[in-house]
Amino acid sequence: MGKIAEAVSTLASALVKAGVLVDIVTFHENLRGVETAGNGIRILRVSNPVSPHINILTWALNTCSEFQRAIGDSMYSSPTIDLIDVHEWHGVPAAVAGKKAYGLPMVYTVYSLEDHRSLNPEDPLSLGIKSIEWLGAYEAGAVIARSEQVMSDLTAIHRVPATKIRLIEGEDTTAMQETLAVYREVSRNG
Amino acid sequence: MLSWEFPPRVIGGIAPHVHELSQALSELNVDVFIVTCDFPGAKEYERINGVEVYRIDSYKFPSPDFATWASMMNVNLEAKAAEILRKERKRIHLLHAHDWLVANASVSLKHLLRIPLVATIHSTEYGRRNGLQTDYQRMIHSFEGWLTHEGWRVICCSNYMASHINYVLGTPLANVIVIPNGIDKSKFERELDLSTLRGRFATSDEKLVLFVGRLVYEKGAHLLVESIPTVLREMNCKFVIVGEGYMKEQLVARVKELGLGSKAFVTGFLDEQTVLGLFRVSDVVVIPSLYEPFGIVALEAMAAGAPIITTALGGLAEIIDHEKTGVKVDPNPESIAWGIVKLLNDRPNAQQLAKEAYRKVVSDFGWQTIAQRTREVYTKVLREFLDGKWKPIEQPNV
Repeated sequence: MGKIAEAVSTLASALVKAGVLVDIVTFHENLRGVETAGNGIRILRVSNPVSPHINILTWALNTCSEFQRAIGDSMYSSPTIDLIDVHEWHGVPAAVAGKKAYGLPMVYTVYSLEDHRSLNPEDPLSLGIKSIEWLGAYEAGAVIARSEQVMSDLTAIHRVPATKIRLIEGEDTTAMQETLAVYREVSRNG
Repeated sequence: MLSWEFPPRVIGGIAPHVHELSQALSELNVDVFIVTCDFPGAKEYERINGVEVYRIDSYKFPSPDFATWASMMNVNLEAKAAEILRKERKRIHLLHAHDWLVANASVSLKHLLRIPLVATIHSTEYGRRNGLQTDYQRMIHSFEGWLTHEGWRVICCSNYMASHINYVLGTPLANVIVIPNGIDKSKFERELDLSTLRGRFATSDEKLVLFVGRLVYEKGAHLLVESIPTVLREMNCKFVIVGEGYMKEQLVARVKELGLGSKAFVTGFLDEQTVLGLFRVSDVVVIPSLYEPFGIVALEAMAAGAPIITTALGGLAEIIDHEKTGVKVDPNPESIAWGIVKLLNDRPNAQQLAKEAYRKVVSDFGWQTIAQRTREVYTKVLREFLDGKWKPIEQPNV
């Protein structure tokens, strides 16, 4: 859809090379199930169980149910999840539930905010998305901002403490190492 | 248990149902945790006779529509329930969802922690809307189907509902268990100045005919209003129509149009004590529903000892036996008028029907009986779960 797919793929590959086990829980309209990619990344694809949907919020929040099915199945087959990194707001409720249910540390990676995307960020639909963004930032042990704009707006819009935000731009080895450092820090702090 | 309403937040029938059921289950030594929406003045956490009630922030920002609000509410509902489950995992062995409004949270938790889920379907979108006309309705319908599909067992309140959800949602009948709604008859035994109460609504020479329910098409109050002129040609009556709903203004206007201003009151919302008292002082209670998954109002009338006239559609047909515990009529004004006149003209018969109805409500619809049957469902589900291949991540102490 946008740049997140590529960014997550690049990050996951780099993490695997660094010896980190990575499960990616993601959406696909019809390709459901578990696939192990050549580089060892496990990809758990889910589709949405309800049709039709009336807006992006009902769709995303319902998709989160299936994300949690994948997390639960993953925890059952090999209970080795040490941390959840949720990329963008769509999966935040699933990550928060995973955090609450298992006590897992959580990182929230933000590429853009609803205020950047919406023509009317105060309309009820955008307010809902902004609430989810706020929840993700509130529950996460650290928030990774993928640009300076996002970093400053996380504080300006959602009042996220600057100490909680880490700016990690780019997708090179340095970015991966910085991400890994955030994971370690958040895991250490619980 | 997950429910979007629980007293003091009472929107429809789910709140009293969950309240009474949870209390009765607790008396049977079932540990019950309820996660529900907040309400002004209600505590975030309280223990009510052993039942632990957690109230969540139900999302207060403006929402595009009710279904989107429900999705947002489920985010907070699930987060709180997940927290409780982590803390109380050894004591919580299954989830019980009440209606599609908590489907997201319930199904998510089922899979996240691998806990069996029981779902109660109180009514369907198809039934409430008399079909599916919009994508909004189709989405809710799809949520209902998904929830029943995910439920290990699906509880519904009548054989009519079992066959209805089998037909409209495709839920296999083998997974559906019928457990009726219940009634706390002691609510109708409280001390009350009934004569003063009756005097507020009717003179001593007027018979009092009562309707209680939401003023929406499916409840059929409009049929009762149309029957009033026919009844008044034969009897001196006062018609009291209690409830709120989108048809209220229309009903008030029709009463005026028919010149019934002094003979029919559309009261709007009345407090619980007044409504319970009205059941007790009524000469007849009319239930002219066109769609009724169960018909709790029939149990209320039965427990109050009021004679009943009903269209006996849906679940009502399973509660009322014609000429034994009430009088069944067709869903049209002429037939309803016939039934009212018949019962008002034959008081010994009306009293006999009310007496039989009271006996039935005591024997079949007490909350202890219903809780016992619900507990049997829980036990069966747990046994199947523990014997099955879909295992919990953490083995609970059962």
